[in-house]
Amino acid sequence: MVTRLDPKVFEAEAHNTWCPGCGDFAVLKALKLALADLDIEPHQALVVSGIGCGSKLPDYMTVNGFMTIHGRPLPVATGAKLANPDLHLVVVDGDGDCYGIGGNHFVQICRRNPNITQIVENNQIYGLTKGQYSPTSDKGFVTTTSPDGSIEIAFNPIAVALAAGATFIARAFAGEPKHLAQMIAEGIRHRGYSLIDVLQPCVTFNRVNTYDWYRKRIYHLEDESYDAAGRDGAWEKSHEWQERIPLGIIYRAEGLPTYEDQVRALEDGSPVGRVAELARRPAPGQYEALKQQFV
Amino acid sequence: MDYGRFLTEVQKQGCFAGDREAAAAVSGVLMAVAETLSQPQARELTRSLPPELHVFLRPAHEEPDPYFDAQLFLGWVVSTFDATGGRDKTAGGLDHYAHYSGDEAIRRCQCVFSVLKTVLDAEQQQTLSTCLPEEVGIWFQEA
Repeated sequence: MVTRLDPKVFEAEAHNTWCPGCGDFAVLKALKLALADLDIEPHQALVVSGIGCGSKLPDYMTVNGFMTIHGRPLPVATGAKLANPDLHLVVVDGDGDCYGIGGNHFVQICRRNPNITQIVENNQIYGLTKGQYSPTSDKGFVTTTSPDGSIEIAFNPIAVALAAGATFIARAFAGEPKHLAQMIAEGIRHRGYSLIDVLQPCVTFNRVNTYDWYRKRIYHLEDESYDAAGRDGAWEKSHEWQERIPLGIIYRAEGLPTYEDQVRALEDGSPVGRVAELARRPAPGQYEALKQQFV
Repeated sequence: MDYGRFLTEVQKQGCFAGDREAAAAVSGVLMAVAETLSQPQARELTRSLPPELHVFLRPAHEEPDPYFDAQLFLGWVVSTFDATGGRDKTAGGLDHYAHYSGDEAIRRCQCVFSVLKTVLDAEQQQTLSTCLPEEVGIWFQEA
């Protein structure tokens, strides 16, 4: 990937507390590469996160960042997007934050279709709280909170997103940062909500879904004659797991209006844009009145 | 060098309690190495390795990911540890296992690299050293 902007502009000095070897490092790198490739400068993007290991990400890069409460990055990001549609909105959180605690917001954002990209660091476990099973843990997965193996079937984010009306659904693997960066860039390019579900091994608490486990199962849809525009095909791919796991763009519907396209209140410009315009070109007499306050 | 001897050397270098732990270290490091090599480079390296180890280099790609870095390399090695993080009774968020796992993974890399260097010729060592992520290349050279 030949990037236009130097990804180093996103580097930050904050001390990183991720475990050595964590897949989140690759997500961080890939996001910087994708933003650089799209020529998006740090001040033009806002990264919103929730709570969890992966949600620490905005701290580790130079960009506008907003760490929300658990499970709530999507409504916060939607609000930010409505206030300033020119901002590139990226949500980064984990499987617990998005598919568990924030599950309702996840379903709603799929059908609203705001121009927001969400990267879900899906490690199939709660890592920050030291290894409890998560919504995407496979049935039978043994953890401290599922000593006899988890009873529930795993949440299928791809199928749920598709059923709820998401217009861009992709899956990537943290062990392949180049492909991951391409998927993130494609998601940001897409007009509308884009989900990038990232298979991201937790090297400290998940000894089942390791880099090796994924490596043996993943394959690339790009290598097959797969048409991401078809819902039926996407539905079929969304249910492939265990034996073979597809990576790449699983579903993409183009040309549909975004949420903010349809908000009438934004027809006269965004709230942030109107404030900026007022500051730049005050109405007659407004500038004089303002000046008088300081004379 | 045969497979048994290779493992014994790694076990000695790493002060591992048994050959099972040595085998885990070898598999973790070699699988990570495979991620950094092209298929022809992997084939070239296997010439000097015991046949039992070839399987770990077989997944090498047509073209390795240029952004595969030291953290990802460590991830493959840490994943083969015969231990996991502590239960949720540890205080203050510091997991003692995770805190030291990086140092232990680097130590394991260097144990395996030092034995690997005894079976690879100078050209193979040079090839491997340049294919590895920069930081890992330094661990290889220092091993």
